[in-house]
Amino acid sequence: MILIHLKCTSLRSVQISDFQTSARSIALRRDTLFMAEKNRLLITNLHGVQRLSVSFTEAEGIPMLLDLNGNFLAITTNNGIIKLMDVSRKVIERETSGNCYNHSNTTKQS
Amino acid sequence: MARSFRSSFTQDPKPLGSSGKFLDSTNNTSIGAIRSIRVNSNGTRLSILSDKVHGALKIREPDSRLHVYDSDRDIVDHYDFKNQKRIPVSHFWDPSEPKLLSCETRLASVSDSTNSISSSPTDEPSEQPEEKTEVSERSERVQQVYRREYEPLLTSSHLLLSAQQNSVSRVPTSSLTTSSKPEITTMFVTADFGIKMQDVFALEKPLETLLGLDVPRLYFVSTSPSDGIDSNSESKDDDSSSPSKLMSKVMRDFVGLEDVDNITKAALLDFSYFLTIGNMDEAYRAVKLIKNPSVWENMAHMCVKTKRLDVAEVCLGNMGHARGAAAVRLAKNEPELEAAVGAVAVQLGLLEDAERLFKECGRYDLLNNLYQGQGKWEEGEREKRASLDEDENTSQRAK
Repeated sequence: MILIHLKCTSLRSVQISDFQTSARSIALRRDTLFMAEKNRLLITNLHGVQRLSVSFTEAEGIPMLLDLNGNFLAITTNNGIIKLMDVSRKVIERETSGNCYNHSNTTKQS
Repeated sequence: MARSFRSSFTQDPKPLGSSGKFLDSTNNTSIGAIRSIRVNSNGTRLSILSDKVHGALKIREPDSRLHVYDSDRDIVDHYDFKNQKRIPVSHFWDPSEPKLLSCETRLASVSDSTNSISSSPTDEPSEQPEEKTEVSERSERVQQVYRREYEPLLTSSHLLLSAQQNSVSRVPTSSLTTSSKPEITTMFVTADFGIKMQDVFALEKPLETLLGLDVPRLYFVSTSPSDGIDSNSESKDDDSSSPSKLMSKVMRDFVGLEDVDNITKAALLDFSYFLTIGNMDEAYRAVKLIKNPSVWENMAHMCVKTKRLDVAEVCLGNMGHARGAAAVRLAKNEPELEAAVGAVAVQLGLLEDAERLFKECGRYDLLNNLYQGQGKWEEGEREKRASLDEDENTSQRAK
């Protein structure tokens, strides 16, 4: 499966990435992808680079469907298990390049 | 020195409580195979569309019920569309109100069931090659329109996924739209009152399918060029090249109040919620501080439906509708409640409701007046004759 991400920039869409994945279901939050792949929940960046992987036990079953609304992620498995997760935990890190986030054109003051 | 920060996701997702099961609470059996899920804005409820699985061949038949799993109570609630002979095809929660859910339903038919089976996740890989281009084209078109007005509401990525999901699950539906009569149901999901319908309306051309909701609006994909469903149909320059457009419609109870601040919006949501569960007094309390005639008009409309004459009087007073308020005072002298409510309905321009109410209480004289007032002489005559026949019949029976 190939994924194409489109980003809104002044009425034009820009392809962000294009990569292979065997995920059954995908949810997206800001710059993070959540994918139901094999027996785990895979968390990657927009280019498919793994950040985290959460394995499911045999009793829980294989994750089939994902949905995300704001800070909350829901997962259902083939065994009919429903899992709800809070994915809002995050750390604030300073961006090394010094770019203004989302405002790359704004002038820097020193 | 300008400092820029970005937040990134580096921690484990935190599970909320223990995991639930998609089981019937009465007999602990599986309800079916899950076809689609949506989670609400505070992670407490999950709406589920499912298929019933029959026999050894595992034939899947779409369930007419919309299930809502409540994680606080660990119970699956249902809302059944069986009586309307409909099946739910898509469902969306409001991004900020955890109680508010919208659902698109279509008439249950053979073609519908094959449609929903083909959209099950297991078949996705086989659909992908031809899907891909459609997805990208479609989201591109949608987002061009979307960008102009709706950017603050959702992220672009959000839109992308919606567009993707829509085209994946909806490949055959374009041919069905005319025959399957899509309807949109909005509802409040509550712990105390179960799932309550807020509003239901038929989806009419050019609107094709529900894309989501964000109070006070519902968002739709439309195909053909639009003329005037709502003020938000836009992008004339795109008409020639784009068959898909994003359109919106203001939800009932919010008409005339679509551009209000957040506090008013919250009050209106409470108002809508209390109207839905039938608590007029609380609804009145929720909005009594809002200084806008529209809210009173919406409430007055509801009073006609619930036959609350006392509340209607307050509403008309607040609307500054002097003639209406006077009419209510006069109408109060009528012996039948329906006749009085009918008079309110006439003042509000709800003529069909007025007709229905006058018929309900057998006040054909008022009905006749109404028809004459509208210049519908023929219908007035017909009603008169019908009521005379009825009188004759009853008097004959009395003999």
